[in-house]
Amino acid sequence: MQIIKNISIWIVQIVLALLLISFITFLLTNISADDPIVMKFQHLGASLDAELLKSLRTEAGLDKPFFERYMNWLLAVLEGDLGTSIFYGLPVWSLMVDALPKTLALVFMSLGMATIIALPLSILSATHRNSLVDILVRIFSLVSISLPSFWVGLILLYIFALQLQLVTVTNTSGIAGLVLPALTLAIWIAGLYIRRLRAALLEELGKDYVIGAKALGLSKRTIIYSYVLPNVGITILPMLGITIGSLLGGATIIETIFGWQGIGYLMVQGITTRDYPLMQGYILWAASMYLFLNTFMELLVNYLMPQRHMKAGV
Amino acid sequence: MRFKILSVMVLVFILIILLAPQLAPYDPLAVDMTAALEPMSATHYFGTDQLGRDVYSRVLYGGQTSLGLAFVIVVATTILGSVIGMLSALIGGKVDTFISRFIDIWLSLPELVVAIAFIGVLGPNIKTVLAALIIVKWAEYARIMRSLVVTVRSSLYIQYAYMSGANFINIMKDYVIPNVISPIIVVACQHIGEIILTVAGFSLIGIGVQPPMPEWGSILMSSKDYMQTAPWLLFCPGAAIFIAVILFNWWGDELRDVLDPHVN
Repeated sequence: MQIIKNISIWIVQIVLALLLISFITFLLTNISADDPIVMKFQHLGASLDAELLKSLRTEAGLDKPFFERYMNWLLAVLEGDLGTSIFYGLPVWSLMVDALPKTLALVFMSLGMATIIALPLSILSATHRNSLVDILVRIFSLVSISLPSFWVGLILLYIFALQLQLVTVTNTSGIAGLVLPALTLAIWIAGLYIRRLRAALLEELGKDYVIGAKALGLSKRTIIYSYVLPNVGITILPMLGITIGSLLGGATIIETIFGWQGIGYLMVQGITTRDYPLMQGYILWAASMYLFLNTFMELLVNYLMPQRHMKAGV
Repeated sequence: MRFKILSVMVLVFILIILLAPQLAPYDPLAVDMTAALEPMSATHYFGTDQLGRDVYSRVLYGGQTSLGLAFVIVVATTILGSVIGMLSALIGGKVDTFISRFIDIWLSLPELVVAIAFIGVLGPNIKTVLAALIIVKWAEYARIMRSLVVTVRSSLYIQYAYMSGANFINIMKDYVIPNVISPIIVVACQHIGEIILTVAGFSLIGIGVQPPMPEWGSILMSSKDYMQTAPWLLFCPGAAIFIAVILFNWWGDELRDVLDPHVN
Protein backbone atom coordinates (compact mmCIF):
# COMPACT_ATOMS: atom_id res chain seq x y z
CA MET A 1 0.00 0.00 0.00
CA GLN A 2 2.86 2.28 0.97
CA ILE A 3 4.48 2.00 -2.43
CA ILE A 4 1.22 2.81 -4.25
CA LYS A 5 0.77 5.88 -2.08
CA ASN A 6 4.34 6.97 -2.82
CA ILE A 7 3.92 6.51 -6.55
CA SER A 8 0.70 8.51 -6.60
CA ILE A 9 2.28 11.38 -4.64
CA TRP A 10 5.13 11.45 -7.11
CA ILE A 11 2.85 11.35 -10.12
CA VAL A 12 0.89 14.32 -8.77
CA GLN A 13 4.15 16.18 -8.15
CA ILE A 14 5.47 15.46 -11.66
CA VAL A 15 2.23 16.56 -13.28
CA LEU A 16 2.19 19.78 -11.22
CA ALA A 17 5.82 20.52 -12.07
CA LEU A 18 5.24 19.89 -15.77
CA LEU A 19 2.14 22.10 -15.75
CA LEU A 20 4.12 24.82 -14.00
CA ILE A 21 6.97 24.68 -16.48
CA SER A 22 4.65 24.52 -19.49
CA PHE A 23 2.75 27.50 -18.16
CA ILE A 24 5.91 29.52 -17.52
CA THR A 25 7.26 28.69 -20.98
CA PHE A 26 4.02 29.70 -22.62
CA LEU A 27 3.74 32.86 -20.54
CA LEU A 28 7.31 33.94 -21.34
CA THR A 29 6.88 33.25 -25.04
CA ASN A 30 3.77 35.37 -25.00
CA ILE A 31 5.10 38.39 -23.14
CA SER A 32 8.20 38.60 -25.34
CA ALA A 33 8.11 41.39 -27.88
CA ASP A 34 8.38 39.21 -31.00
CA ASP A 35 5.20 38.24 -32.83
CA PRO A 36 5.47 34.70 -34.21
CA ILE A 37 3.77 35.61 -37.51
CA VAL A 38 6.04 38.63 -38.04
CA MET A 39 9.04 36.42 -37.16
CA LYS A 40 8.02 33.80 -39.69
CA PHE A 41 7.63 36.34 -42.49
CA GLN A 42 10.91 38.00 -41.58
CA HIS A 43 12.59 34.62 -41.80
CA LEU A 44 11.04 33.92 -45.19
CA GLY A 45 12.02 37.40 -46.32
CA ALA A 46 8.43 38.19 -47.31
CA SER A 47 6.73 41.51 -46.68
CA LEU A 48 3.69 41.68 -44.47
CA ASP A 49 1.03 44.41 -44.30
CA ALA A 50 -1.22 45.13 -41.35
CA GLU A 51 -4.32 43.65 -43.02
CA LEU A 52 -2.66 40.32 -43.78
CA LEU A 53 -1.08 40.17 -40.32
CA LYS A 54 -4.48 40.66 -38.72
CA SER A 55 -6.13 37.89 -40.71
CA LEU A 56 -3.22 35.51 -40.16
CA ARG A 57 -3.30 36.20 -36.44
CA THR A 58 -7.01 35.41 -36.34
CA GLU A 59 -6.41 32.25 -38.33
CA ALA A 60 -3.67 31.11 -35.92
CA GLY A 61 -5.89 31.96 -32.94
CA LEU A 62 -3.44 34.56 -31.63
CA ASP A 63 -6.21 37.09 -30.95
CA LYS A 64 -7.94 34.81 -28.45
CA PRO A 65 -7.57 35.37 -24.69
CA PHE A 66 -4.38 34.11 -23.03
CA PHE A 67 -5.87 31.15 -21.16
CA GLU A 68 -7.74 29.88 -24.18
CA ARG A 69 -4.53 29.96 -26.21
CA TYR A 70 -2.66 28.20 -23.41
CA MET A 71 -5.29 25.45 -23.24
CA ASN A 72 -5.23 25.01 -27.02
CA TRP A 73 -1.46 24.82 -27.02
CA LEU A 74 -1.46 22.35 -24.12
CA LEU A 75 -4.02 20.11 -25.84
CA ALA A 76 -1.94 20.13 -29.03
CA VAL A 77 1.19 19.21 -27.03
CA LEU A 78 -0.66 16.33 -25.38
CA GLU A 79 -1.51 15.06 -28.85
CA GLY A 80 2.19 15.18 -29.72
CA ASP A 81 2.04 18.37 -31.77
CA LEU A 82 4.87 20.63 -30.64
CA GLY A 83 4.37 23.07 -33.49
CA THR A 84 6.61 23.93 -36.43
CA SER A 85 10.09 25.36 -36.11
CA ILE A 86 10.26 28.88 -37.55
CA PHE A 87 13.91 28.59 -38.56
CA TYR A 88 13.97 25.05 -39.96
CA GLY A 89 10.38 25.01 -41.24
CA LEU A 90 10.01 21.42 -39.97
CA PRO A 91 7.90 19.98 -37.14
CA VAL A 92 9.72 20.47 -33.82
CA TRP A 93 8.93 16.86 -32.96
CA SER A 94 10.85 15.46 -35.95
CA LEU A 95 13.83 17.77 -35.35
CA MET A 96 14.06 16.50 -31.79
CA VAL A 97 13.71 12.86 -32.83
CA ASP A 98 16.62 13.38 -35.25
CA ALA A 99 18.80 14.98 -32.57
CA LEU A 100 18.00 12.46 -29.84
CA PRO A 101 20.30 9.58 -30.93
CA LYS A 102 23.28 11.93 -30.82
CA THR A 103 22.46 13.07 -27.30
CA LEU A 104 21.84 9.47 -26.18
CA ALA A 105 25.19 8.35 -27.61
CA LEU A 106 26.92 11.19 -25.78
CA VAL A 107 25.18 10.35 -22.49
CA PHE A 108 26.11 6.67 -22.57
CA MET A 109 29.65 7.21 -23.79
CA SER A 110 30.44 9.88 -21.19
CA LEU A 111 28.85 7.92 -18.32
CA GLY A 112 30.81 4.82 -19.36
CA MET A 113 34.06 6.77 -19.45
CA ALA A 114 33.28 8.47 -16.14
CA THR A 115 32.64 5.09 -14.49
CA ILE A 116 35.96 3.74 -15.77
CA ILE A 117 37.73 6.76 -14.26
CA ALA A 118 35.76 7.26 -11.04
CA LEU A 119 35.10 3.75 -9.72
CA PRO A 120 38.68 2.43 -9.37
CA LEU A 121 39.99 5.80 -8.19
CA SER A 122 37.40 6.18 -5.43
CA ILE A 123 37.87 2.59 -4.24
CA LEU A 124 41.65 3.12 -4.11
CA SER A 125 41.16 6.43 -2.35
CA ALA A 126 38.74 5.11 0.29
CA THR A 127 40.70 1.92 1.04
CA HIS A 128 43.99 3.80 1.34
CA ARG A 129 42.73 6.74 3.33
CA ASN A 130 45.20 9.64 3.76
CA SER A 131 47.84 7.85 1.69
CA LEU A 132 49.58 9.54 -1.23
CA VAL A 133 47.09 7.87 -3.64
CA ASP A 134 44.19 9.27 -1.64
CA ILE A 135 45.63 12.79 -1.69
CA LEU A 136 46.28 12.61 -5.45
CA VAL A 137 42.77 11.33 -6.13
CA ARG A 138 41.26 14.11 -4.02
CA ILE A 139 43.32 16.72 -5.86
CA PHE A 140 42.17 15.25 -9.18
CA SER A 141 38.58 15.48 -7.99
CA LEU A 142 38.86 19.12 -6.84
CA VAL A 143 40.68 20.11 -10.04
CA SER A 144 38.23 18.37 -12.35
CA ILE A 145 35.16 19.99 -10.79
CA SER A 146 36.85 23.39 -10.88
CA LEU A 147 38.01 23.07 -14.48
CA PRO A 148 35.61 24.79 -16.85
CA SER A 149 34.40 21.83 -18.94
CA PHE A 150 34.14 24.05 -22.03
CA TRP A 151 37.83 24.92 -21.59
CA VAL A 152 38.77 21.24 -21.21
CA GLY A 153 36.84 20.58 -24.41
CA LEU A 154 38.69 23.29 -26.32
CA ILE A 155 42.06 22.09 -24.98
CA LEU A 156 41.27 18.50 -25.97
CA LEU A 157 40.40 19.79 -29.44
CA TYR A 158 43.70 21.67 -29.51
CA ILE A 159 45.72 18.61 -28.47
CA PHE A 160 43.97 15.83 -30.41
CA ALA A 161 42.81 17.72 -33.48
CA LEU A 162 45.58 20.26 -34.04
CA GLN A 163 48.73 18.89 -32.41
CA LEU A 164 48.26 15.12 -32.82
CA GLN A 165 45.84 15.39 -35.77
CA LEU A 166 43.96 12.26 -34.64
CA VAL A 167 40.56 13.79 -35.36
CA THR A 168 39.47 16.79 -37.36
CA VAL A 169 38.01 19.85 -35.67
CA THR A 170 34.97 19.75 -37.90
CA ASN A 171 34.29 16.03 -37.53
CA THR A 172 30.90 15.86 -35.88
CA SER A 173 29.73 12.35 -36.64
CA GLY A 174 30.62 8.78 -35.76
CA ILE A 175 32.82 7.49 -32.99
CA ALA A 176 35.72 9.85 -33.76
CA GLY A 177 33.49 12.89 -33.29
CA LEU A 178 31.97 11.44 -30.14
CA VAL A 179 35.14 10.61 -28.19
CA LEU A 180 36.26 14.16 -27.38
CA PRO A 181 32.93 15.60 -26.16
CA ALA A 182 32.31 12.40 -24.18
CA LEU A 183 35.76 12.56 -22.59
CA THR A 184 35.22 16.23 -21.72
CA LEU A 185 31.99 15.44 -19.91
CA ALA A 186 33.49 12.29 -18.35
CA ILE A 187 36.33 14.21 -16.67
CA TRP A 188 33.84 16.56 -15.02
CA ILE A 189 31.36 13.82 -14.03
CA ALA A 190 34.19 11.66 -12.66
CA GLY A 191 35.30 14.52 -10.42
CA LEU A 192 31.81 14.92 -8.96
CA TYR A 193 31.34 11.19 -8.40
CA ILE A 194 34.76 10.54 -6.87
CA ARG A 195 33.90 13.03 -4.13
CA ARG A 196 30.57 11.41 -3.45
CA LEU A 197 31.70 7.78 -3.84
CA ARG A 198 34.72 8.25 -1.59
CA ALA A 199 32.59 9.72 1.20
CA ALA A 200 29.95 6.98 0.79
CA LEU A 201 32.59 4.22 0.75
CA LEU A 202 34.28 5.58 3.88
CA GLU A 203 30.96 5.71 5.69
CA GLU A 204 30.06 2.19 4.63
CA LEU A 205 33.50 0.79 5.53
CA GLY A 206 33.07 2.13 9.06
CA LYS A 207 29.86 0.14 9.65
CA ASP A 208 29.59 -2.76 12.06
CA TYR A 209 28.91 -5.41 9.44
CA VAL A 210 32.28 -4.70 7.81
CA ILE A 211 34.04 -5.33 11.13
CA GLY A 212 31.97 -8.48 11.51
CA ALA A 213 32.91 -9.65 8.04
CA LYS A 214 36.58 -8.99 8.82
CA ALA A 215 36.28 -10.95 12.03
CA LEU A 216 34.79 -13.85 10.08
CA GLY A 217 37.96 -13.83 8.00
CA LEU A 218 36.49 -12.69 4.69
CA SER A 219 39.02 -11.18 2.34
CA LYS A 220 39.14 -7.44 1.81
CA ARG A 221 38.23 -8.00 -1.85
CA THR A 222 35.10 -10.01 -0.99
CA ILE A 223 33.99 -7.45 1.58
CA ILE A 224 34.35 -4.55 -0.83
CA TYR A 225 32.95 -6.13 -3.99
CA SER A 226 30.19 -8.29 -2.49
CA TYR A 227 28.95 -6.14 0.37
CA VAL A 228 30.22 -2.57 0.43
CA LEU A 229 29.93 -1.66 -3.26
CA PRO A 230 26.33 -2.85 -3.77
CA ASN A 231 25.25 -0.82 -0.73
CA VAL A 232 27.13 2.26 -1.87
CA GLY A 233 25.70 1.78 -5.36
CA ILE A 234 22.18 2.20 -4.03
CA THR A 235 23.01 5.45 -2.22
CA ILE A 236 24.50 6.84 -5.43
CA LEU A 237 21.36 6.16 -7.54
CA PRO A 238 19.53 9.46 -6.83
CA MET A 239 22.61 11.43 -7.91
CA LEU A 240 22.85 9.27 -11.03
CA GLY A 241 19.22 10.14 -11.77
CA ILE A 242 20.06 13.86 -11.65
CA THR A 243 23.13 13.40 -13.88
CA ILE A 244 21.39 11.30 -16.55
CA GLY A 245 18.31 13.50 -16.38
CA SER A 246 20.36 16.64 -16.96
CA LEU A 247 22.43 15.07 -19.75
CA LEU A 248 19.32 13.88 -21.60
CA GLY A 249 18.34 17.54 -21.82
CA GLY A 250 21.54 17.87 -23.79
CA ALA A 251 24.94 18.96 -22.59
CA THR A 252 24.15 22.33 -24.14
CA ILE A 253 27.56 23.95 -23.88
CA ILE A 254 29.69 20.92 -24.80
CA GLU A 255 27.44 19.92 -27.70
CA THR A 256 27.67 23.45 -29.09
CA ILE A 257 31.46 23.71 -28.77
CA PHE A 258 32.00 20.42 -30.58
CA GLY A 259 29.18 21.01 -33.05
CA TRP A 260 27.67 17.70 -31.91
CA GLN A 261 24.11 18.14 -33.15
CA GLY A 262 22.17 16.76 -30.21
CA ILE A 263 19.22 18.17 -28.30
CA GLY A 264 21.26 20.85 -26.50
CA TYR A 265 22.80 22.08 -29.75
CA LEU A 266 19.30 22.34 -31.21
CA MET A 267 18.18 24.53 -28.29
CA VAL A 268 21.11 26.93 -28.73
CA GLN A 269 20.20 27.22 -32.43
CA GLY A 270 16.64 27.92 -31.31
CA ILE A 271 17.77 30.68 -28.95
CA THR A 272 20.05 32.43 -31.42
CA THR A 273 17.39 32.35 -34.17
CA ARG A 274 14.58 33.26 -31.69
CA ASP A 275 12.70 30.12 -32.70
CA TYR A 276 10.01 29.94 -30.00
CA PRO A 277 8.28 26.66 -30.93
CA LEU A 278 11.68 24.94 -30.92
CA MET A 279 12.52 26.40 -27.51
CA GLN A 280 9.16 25.32 -26.07
CA GLY A 281 9.63 21.80 -27.38
CA TYR A 282 13.11 21.58 -25.93
CA ILE A 283 12.07 22.89 -22.52
CA LEU A 284 9.20 20.41 -22.23
CA TRP A 285 11.41 17.51 -23.29
CA ALA A 286 14.33 18.38 -21.01
CA ALA A 287 12.15 19.08 -17.98
CA SER A 288 10.14 15.86 -18.43
CA MET A 289 13.24 13.71 -18.81
CA TYR A 290 14.76 15.22 -15.70
CA LEU A 291 11.59 14.76 -13.65
CA PHE A 292 10.95 11.20 -14.82
CA LEU A 293 14.51 10.03 -14.22
CA ASN A 294 14.66 11.54 -10.76
CA THR A 295 11.36 9.99 -9.80
CA PHE A 296 12.34 6.65 -11.26
CA MET A 297 15.57 6.60 -9.25
CA GLU A 298 13.75 7.59 -6.05
CA LEU A 299 11.27 4.75 -6.55
CA LEU A 300 14.09 2.33 -7.36
CA VAL A 301 15.96 3.27 -4.19
CA ASN A 302 12.85 2.87 -2.07
CA TYR A 303 12.22 -0.52 -3.66
CA LEU A 304 15.79 -1.68 -3.07
CA MET A 305 16.03 -0.16 0.41
CA PRO A 306 12.62 -0.42 2.08
CA GLN A 307 14.05 0.77 5.41
CA ARG A 308 14.74 4.19 3.89
CA HIS A 309 11.19 5.32 3.37
CA MET A 310 10.08 3.77 6.62
CA LYS A 311 12.62 5.97 8.35
CA ALA A 312 11.56 9.02 6.38
CA GLY A 313 7.94 8.23 7.18
CA VAL A 314 6.68 9.21 3.73
CA MET B 1 45.94 27.78 8.90
CA ARG B 2 45.04 26.48 5.46
CA PHE B 3 41.84 28.50 5.68
CA LYS B 4 43.79 31.69 6.45
CA ILE B 5 46.21 31.19 3.57
CA LEU B 6 43.34 30.52 1.17
CA SER B 7 41.42 33.55 2.45
CA VAL B 8 44.44 35.76 1.76
CA MET B 9 44.76 34.25 -1.74
CA VAL B 10 41.08 34.85 -2.45
CA LEU B 11 41.39 38.46 -1.23
CA VAL B 12 44.49 39.09 -3.35
CA PHE B 13 42.69 37.63 -6.37
CA ILE B 14 39.65 39.87 -5.81
CA LEU B 15 41.95 42.88 -5.29
CA ILE B 16 43.73 42.24 -8.61
CA ILE B 17 40.38 42.14 -10.39
CA LEU B 18 39.17 45.28 -8.59
CA LEU B 19 42.35 47.10 -9.62
CA ALA B 20 41.85 46.17 -13.30
CA PRO B 21 41.63 49.82 -14.44
CA GLN B 22 45.01 50.52 -12.78
CA LEU B 23 46.68 47.25 -13.79
CA ALA B 24 45.47 46.90 -17.38
CA PRO B 25 48.00 48.36 -19.82
CA TYR B 26 45.40 48.84 -22.60
CA ASP B 27 41.76 49.71 -23.10
CA PRO B 28 40.00 46.27 -23.22
CA LEU B 29 37.79 47.43 -26.09
CA ALA B 30 40.43 49.26 -28.17
CA VAL B 31 40.63 47.66 -31.61
CA ASP B 32 44.03 47.78 -33.34
CA MET B 33 44.03 45.75 -36.55
CA THR B 34 47.76 46.33 -37.07
CA ALA B 35 48.43 44.35 -33.88
CA ALA B 36 45.96 41.48 -34.52
CA LEU B 37 46.80 37.98 -33.23
CA GLU B 38 50.19 38.86 -31.78
CA PRO B 39 51.68 36.18 -29.51
CA MET B 40 52.54 36.68 -25.84
CA SER B 41 55.28 39.28 -25.41
CA ALA B 42 56.52 42.02 -23.09
CA THR B 43 54.12 44.53 -24.67
CA HIS B 44 51.13 42.15 -24.72
CA TYR B 45 51.53 39.73 -21.79
CA PHE B 46 48.73 37.41 -22.98
CA GLY B 47 49.01 38.33 -26.69
CA THR B 48 46.25 40.00 -28.72
CA ASP B 49 43.02 38.71 -30.27
CA GLN B 50 41.78 38.80 -33.86
CA LEU B 51 40.88 42.50 -33.50
CA GLY B 52 44.20 43.42 -31.93
CA ARG B 53 42.72 43.88 -28.48
CA ASP B 54 45.08 43.20 -25.57
CA VAL B 55 44.03 39.84 -24.04
CA TYR B 56 45.65 40.59 -20.66
CA SER B 57 43.60 43.76 -20.27
CA ARG B 58 40.49 41.92 -21.44
CA VAL B 59 41.02 39.13 -18.93
CA LEU B 60 41.41 41.67 -16.08
CA TYR B 61 38.29 43.60 -17.08
CA GLY B 62 36.49 40.36 -17.89
CA GLY B 63 37.13 39.33 -14.28
CA GLN B 64 35.16 42.36 -13.14
CA THR B 65 32.18 41.20 -15.19
CA SER B 66 32.49 37.52 -14.24
CA LEU B 67 33.21 37.94 -10.54
CA GLY B 68 30.81 40.89 -10.28
CA LEU B 69 27.97 38.88 -11.82
CA ALA B 70 28.75 35.87 -9.62
CA PHE B 71 28.72 37.98 -6.45
CA VAL B 72 25.52 39.81 -7.35
CA ILE B 73 23.77 36.53 -8.19
CA VAL B 74 24.96 34.77 -5.03
CA VAL B 75 24.08 37.70 -2.74
CA ALA B 76 20.68 38.24 -4.36
CA THR B 77 19.71 34.56 -4.23
CA THR B 78 20.91 34.25 -0.64
CA ILE B 79 18.85 37.23 0.51
CA LEU B 80 15.76 36.36 -1.55
CA GLY B 81 15.83 32.66 -0.61
CA SER B 82 16.57 33.35 3.06
CA VAL B 83 13.77 35.86 3.43
CA ILE B 84 11.23 33.54 1.80
CA GLY B 85 12.41 30.54 3.81
CA MET B 86 12.45 32.46 7.07
CA LEU B 87 9.01 33.98 6.52
CA SER B 88 7.60 30.59 5.61
CA ALA B 89 8.93 29.06 8.82
CA LEU B 90 7.83 31.99 11.00
CA ILE B 91 4.31 32.32 9.59
CA GLY B 92 3.74 28.57 9.66
CA GLY B 93 0.37 26.95 9.06
CA LYS B 94 -1.15 26.81 5.60
CA VAL B 95 1.17 29.48 4.21
CA ASP B 96 4.18 27.41 5.24
CA THR B 97 2.72 24.25 3.68
CA PHE B 98 2.00 26.09 0.45
CA ILE B 99 5.45 27.70 0.22
CA SER B 100 7.17 24.41 1.10
CA ARG B 101 5.24 22.53 -1.61
CA PHE B 102 6.08 25.25 -4.11
CA ILE B 103 9.77 25.04 -3.17
CA ASP B 104 9.65 21.23 -3.58
CA ILE B 105 8.19 21.52 -7.05
CA TRP B 106 10.57 24.33 -8.01
CA LEU B 107 13.56 22.27 -6.88
CA SER B 108 12.34 19.28 -8.88
CA LEU B 109 12.82 21.28 -12.10
CA PRO B 110 16.18 21.09 -13.86
CA GLU B 111 18.09 24.28 -13.01
CA LEU B 112 20.01 24.68 -16.23
CA VAL B 113 17.01 24.01 -18.44
CA VAL B 114 14.90 26.61 -16.63
CA ALA B 115 17.76 29.13 -16.77
CA ILE B 116 18.30 28.50 -20.49
CA ALA B 117 14.53 28.76 -21.04
CA PHE B 118 14.40 32.20 -19.40
CA ILE B 119 17.44 33.44 -21.27
CA GLY B 120 16.21 32.02 -24.56
CA VAL B 121 12.75 33.47 -24.42
CA LEU B 122 13.66 36.89 -23.00
CA GLY B 123 16.69 37.27 -25.26
CA PRO B 124 20.30 36.64 -24.23
CA ASN B 125 21.97 39.54 -22.42
CA ILE B 126 23.56 40.33 -19.08
CA LYS B 127 20.24 41.23 -17.39
CA THR B 128 18.41 38.07 -18.41
CA VAL B 129 21.36 35.89 -17.34
CA LEU B 130 21.29 37.60 -13.96
CA ALA B 131 17.53 37.19 -13.58
CA ALA B 132 17.52 33.60 -14.84
CA LEU B 133 20.15 32.41 -12.37
CA ILE B 134 18.49 34.17 -9.42
CA ILE B 135 15.17 32.62 -10.40
CA VAL B 136 16.56 29.07 -10.50
CA LYS B 137 18.76 29.33 -7.40
CA TRP B 138 16.59 30.98 -4.73
CA ALA B 139 14.59 27.86 -3.83
CA GLU B 140 17.60 25.95 -2.59
CA TYR B 141 18.38 28.71 -0.07
CA ALA B 142 14.73 29.01 0.90
CA ARG B 143 14.55 25.31 1.72
CA ILE B 144 17.75 25.37 3.79
CA MET B 145 16.73 28.55 5.62
CA ARG B 146 13.25 27.25 6.35
CA SER B 147 14.49 24.03 7.92
CA LEU B 148 17.17 25.89 9.90
CA VAL B 149 14.66 28.33 11.35
CA VAL B 150 12.19 25.55 12.15
CA THR B 151 14.90 23.61 14.00
CA VAL B 152 16.22 26.58 15.92
CA ARG B 153 12.76 27.81 16.84
CA SER B 154 11.68 24.53 18.34
CA SER B 155 14.82 24.22 20.46
CA LEU B 156 14.64 24.58 24.20
CA TYR B 157 16.76 27.70 24.57
CA ILE B 158 14.30 29.67 22.46
CA GLN B 159 11.45 28.52 24.70
CA TYR B 160 13.46 29.54 27.77
CA ALA B 161 14.13 32.93 26.19
CA TYR B 162 10.38 33.40 25.64
CA MET B 163 9.68 32.40 29.23
CA SER B 164 12.27 34.84 30.57
CA GLY B 165 10.39 37.62 28.77
CA ALA B 166 12.39 38.21 25.59
CA ASN B 167 10.25 39.60 22.78
CA PHE B 168 10.07 38.36 19.18
CA ILE B 169 12.59 40.87 17.78
CA ASN B 170 15.13 40.12 20.53
CA ILE B 171 14.78 36.41 19.96
CA MET B 172 15.25 36.77 16.22
CA LYS B 173 18.21 39.11 16.60
CA ASP B 174 20.02 37.35 19.46
CA TYR B 175 19.22 33.68 18.94
CA VAL B 176 17.68 32.76 15.61
CA ILE B 177 19.69 34.81 13.11
CA PRO B 178 23.15 34.12 14.61
CA ASN B 179 22.38 30.41 14.50
CA VAL B 180 21.14 30.24 10.93
CA ILE B 181 23.50 32.70 9.26
CA SER B 182 26.70 30.68 9.06
CA PRO B 183 25.29 27.56 7.34
CA ILE B 184 23.68 29.83 4.73
CA ILE B 185 26.93 31.74 4.18
CA VAL B 186 28.77 28.44 3.68
CA VAL B 187 26.29 27.34 1.02
CA ALA B 188 26.51 30.74 -0.69
CA CYS B 189 30.32 30.71 -0.80
CA GLN B 190 30.37 27.19 -2.18
CA HIS B 191 28.16 28.38 -5.04
CA ILE B 192 30.43 31.21 -6.27
CA GLY B 193 32.64 28.94 -8.37
CA GLU B 194 29.66 27.16 -9.89
CA ILE B 195 28.03 30.46 -10.88
CA ILE B 196 31.24 31.76 -12.49
CA LEU B 197 31.36 28.56 -14.59
CA THR B 198 27.70 28.74 -15.57
CA VAL B 199 27.84 32.38 -16.66
CA ALA B 200 31.09 31.86 -18.59
CA GLY B 201 29.66 28.76 -20.28
CA PHE B 202 26.54 30.65 -21.37
CA SER B 203 28.62 33.55 -22.70
CA LEU B 204 30.93 31.19 -24.58
CA ILE B 205 28.09 29.75 -26.66
CA GLY B 206 26.54 33.17 -27.20
CA ILE B 207 23.61 33.04 -24.77
CA GLY B 208 25.21 35.04 -21.94
CA VAL B 209 27.14 38.29 -21.77
CA GLN B 210 27.31 39.64 -25.32
CA PRO B 211 30.47 40.88 -27.07
CA PRO B 212 32.26 43.26 -27.13
CA MET B 213 31.83 43.42 -23.33
CA PRO B 214 34.75 41.49 -21.85
CA GLU B 215 33.70 38.47 -19.78
CA TRP B 216 35.80 35.33 -19.22
CA GLY B 217 33.52 33.12 -21.28
CA SER B 218 32.93 35.61 -24.09
CA ILE B 219 36.71 36.20 -24.39
CA LEU B 220 37.08 32.48 -25.09
CA MET B 221 34.41 32.65 -27.79
CA SER B 222 36.72 33.34 -30.73
CA SER B 223 39.51 31.06 -29.48
CA LYS B 224 38.20 28.01 -31.35
CA ASP B 225 38.44 29.76 -34.72
CA TYR B 226 42.04 30.88 -34.14
CA MET B 227 43.23 27.83 -32.22
CA GLN B 228 45.80 26.90 -34.87
CA THR B 229 47.44 30.31 -35.14
CA ALA B 230 46.74 31.86 -31.74
CA PRO B 231 46.53 29.23 -28.95
CA TRP B 232 47.16 31.94 -26.30
CA LEU B 233 43.56 33.07 -26.89
CA LEU B 234 42.55 29.69 -25.51
CA PHE B 235 45.02 29.23 -22.65
CA CYS B 236 45.07 32.59 -20.86
CA PRO B 237 41.34 33.35 -20.32
CA GLY B 238 40.63 29.67 -19.54
CA ALA B 239 43.39 29.61 -16.95
CA ALA B 240 41.92 32.73 -15.33
CA ILE B 241 38.52 31.03 -14.97
CA PHE B 242 40.12 27.86 -13.65
CA ILE B 243 42.20 29.70 -11.03
CA ALA B 244 39.20 31.72 -9.87
CA VAL B 245 36.92 28.69 -9.60
CA ILE B 246 39.41 26.40 -7.86
CA LEU B 247 40.26 29.18 -5.38
CA PHE B 248 36.61 29.79 -4.51
CA ASN B 249 35.72 26.08 -4.39
CA TRP B 250 38.65 25.21 -2.15
CA TRP B 251 38.09 28.24 0.06
CA GLY B 252 34.38 27.33 0.31
CA ASP B 253 35.26 23.80 1.47
CA GLU B 254 37.66 25.13 4.11
CA LEU B 255 35.12 27.73 5.22
CA ARG B 256 32.59 24.96 5.76
CA ASP B 257 35.05 23.05 7.91
CA VAL B 258 35.78 26.18 9.96
CA LEU B 259 32.18 27.38 10.45
CA ASP B 260 30.45 24.00 10.54
CA PRO B 261 32.92 21.59 12.12
CA HIS B 262 30.28 19.02 13.05
CA VAL B 263 29.08 18.51 9.47
CA ASN B 264 32.15 16.52 8.51
